[in-house]
Amino acid sequence: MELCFYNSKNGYLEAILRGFRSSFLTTEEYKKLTEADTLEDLKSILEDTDYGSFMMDEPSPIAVTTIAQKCKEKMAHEFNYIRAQAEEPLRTFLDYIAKEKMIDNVISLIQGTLNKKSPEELLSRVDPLGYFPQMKSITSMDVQNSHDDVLKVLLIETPIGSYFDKYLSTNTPNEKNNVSTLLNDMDIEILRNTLKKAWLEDFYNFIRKLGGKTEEVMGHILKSVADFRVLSVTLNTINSSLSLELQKDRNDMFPCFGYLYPEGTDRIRKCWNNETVHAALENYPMYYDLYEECKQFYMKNENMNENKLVDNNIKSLEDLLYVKLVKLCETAFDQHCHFGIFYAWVKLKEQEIRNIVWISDMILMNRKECIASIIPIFEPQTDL
Amino acid sequence: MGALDDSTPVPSRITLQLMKQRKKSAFQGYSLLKKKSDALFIHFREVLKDVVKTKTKVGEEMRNASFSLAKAVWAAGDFKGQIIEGIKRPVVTLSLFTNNVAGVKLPIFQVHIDPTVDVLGNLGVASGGQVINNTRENYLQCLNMLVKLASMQVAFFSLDEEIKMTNRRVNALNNIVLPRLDGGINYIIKELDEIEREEFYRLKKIKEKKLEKSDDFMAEEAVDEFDQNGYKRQDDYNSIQKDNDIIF
Repeated sequence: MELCFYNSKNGYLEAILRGFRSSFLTTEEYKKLTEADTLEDLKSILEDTDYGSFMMDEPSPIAVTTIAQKCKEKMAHEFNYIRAQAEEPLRTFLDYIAKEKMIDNVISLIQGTLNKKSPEELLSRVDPLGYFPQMKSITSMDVQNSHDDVLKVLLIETPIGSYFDKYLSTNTPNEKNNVSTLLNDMDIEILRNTLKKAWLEDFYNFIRKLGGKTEEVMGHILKSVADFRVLSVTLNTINSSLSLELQKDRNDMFPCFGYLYPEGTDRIRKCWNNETVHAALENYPMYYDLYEECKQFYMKNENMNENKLVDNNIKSLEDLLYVKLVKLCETAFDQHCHFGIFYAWVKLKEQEIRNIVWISDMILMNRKECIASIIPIFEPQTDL
Repeated sequence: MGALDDSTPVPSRITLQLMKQRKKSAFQGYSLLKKKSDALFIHFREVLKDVVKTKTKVGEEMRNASFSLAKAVWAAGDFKGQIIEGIKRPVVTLSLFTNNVAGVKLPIFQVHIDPTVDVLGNLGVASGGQVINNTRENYLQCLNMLVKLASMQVAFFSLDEEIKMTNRRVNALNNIVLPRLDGGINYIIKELDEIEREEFYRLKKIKEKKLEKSDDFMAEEAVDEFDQNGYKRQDDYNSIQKDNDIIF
């Protein structure tokens, strides 16, 4: 039953998305990109792929950031096409995907406005996927003087207002009118990560309500994403020179779901160095292996050799997590009639953009041998 | 006897003394400056070697640093804007000291890192924080090396100037002042010798002339004796007595 209703509502969009799926860069195209010697060559090779004439109007010396921005715009364009034609509940699902980027945009706009940057400059740097029309009002927000204005803008006009609400209520239980001081003093990064945690939990609850195949597939993906977040935050704060107060804050950034929740996160909460993390992850073989592979990167070496960073064999956690995420997203495409493919497509496109940026950087730096670090998407499996 | 013109000194013993003294001090100055020039040159060669070494290292380091930046962008997305927005005070400051090398004041730059300013903050706490940290360390290393290179290059140029100047003075002393002084001294000695010879000759001549005169006189008297004896003898006797120069 579910299947036939699904097709009548969302069949067209799923078909379009599967069309997009075949537009990912293949291994031959990546090989061609590695042979480019300048960014101009790269651009012309990309024009032969599905990216087409997306960079036609750019003036001659192209920067890597322009390439990234144009790729994101193309993806946003395709995403909005799908979103415009979606019915409920797919529409809300797609909104959730966009909200992740909206959080990033809002944070960078707040930061820019606090530093009195010009609105045009700020708006040109936002992620096009997370665009919403009320963004402009943030840039004209007068943080110093009118608290009510700030509150109104942040809570009501943005689609992510509910997450702000949660943040404000946990951090300032009594003095809601000190929002502007809060904005000025607090750490932007903590705000961003708390908002993301709230978003993730909200998303998870939404798909649980949807039920069915979507819940099965997306539930697995989101739980893994939540765990990745926990691991990231832990590893990035434990060994760094960041202050100890951060270590208390980080516990607030752990989402309240996931395979590591609740015992794992509880144990990780108490970790304060490599050995404790080691012990905490013992019950989760997949994450344990992950940690084993990348912990060399995080150890404070006694014999600190500078080549640690140039050596490609030492991977950081992010490299490994990207690989895992790509695998998860690829498997999402194996099943029909669920919304997971939309999320998976967005994530895979992001990874592809990252790959292109990495290749461009390596071409600029003349280090073509390092291009192999990119993560291939939908690599054809050689069956044994 | 006066000087013929300004460049030829007055030939007297006093001026000879003066010139000898000047020559001595000129020679001393020459040897001191030569020593200074040699010391500067040794330093110069050292700095040159260091500069070449550091330049190649800086090239390597910058390469590594940009590579780690690319890695950080891979791990954490484009965080440049965030960092620029988040900075309120400068972290790295330079201070200037002077170092005295063989009399030359060379400036040295020193890097001060303000540890109270936290540039990175909590950047990348959810993704890539550690990688960003590594990038920062790489770039700091690069910066230190560049500052050292800057000090060395400034030292290089100042030493170069100083060496050129010192060498000019050394050469001037050696090729112009000393020979001139030598020439002057030789001239004075020559002149003095000549004066002495002249004096000597003059005395000799006078003596000769006097002898001649007295011989002539004696000869005349002898002739007169044959002719008349009387009063001429008296006359001669008187005239002989009047000549005080002839001492019996």
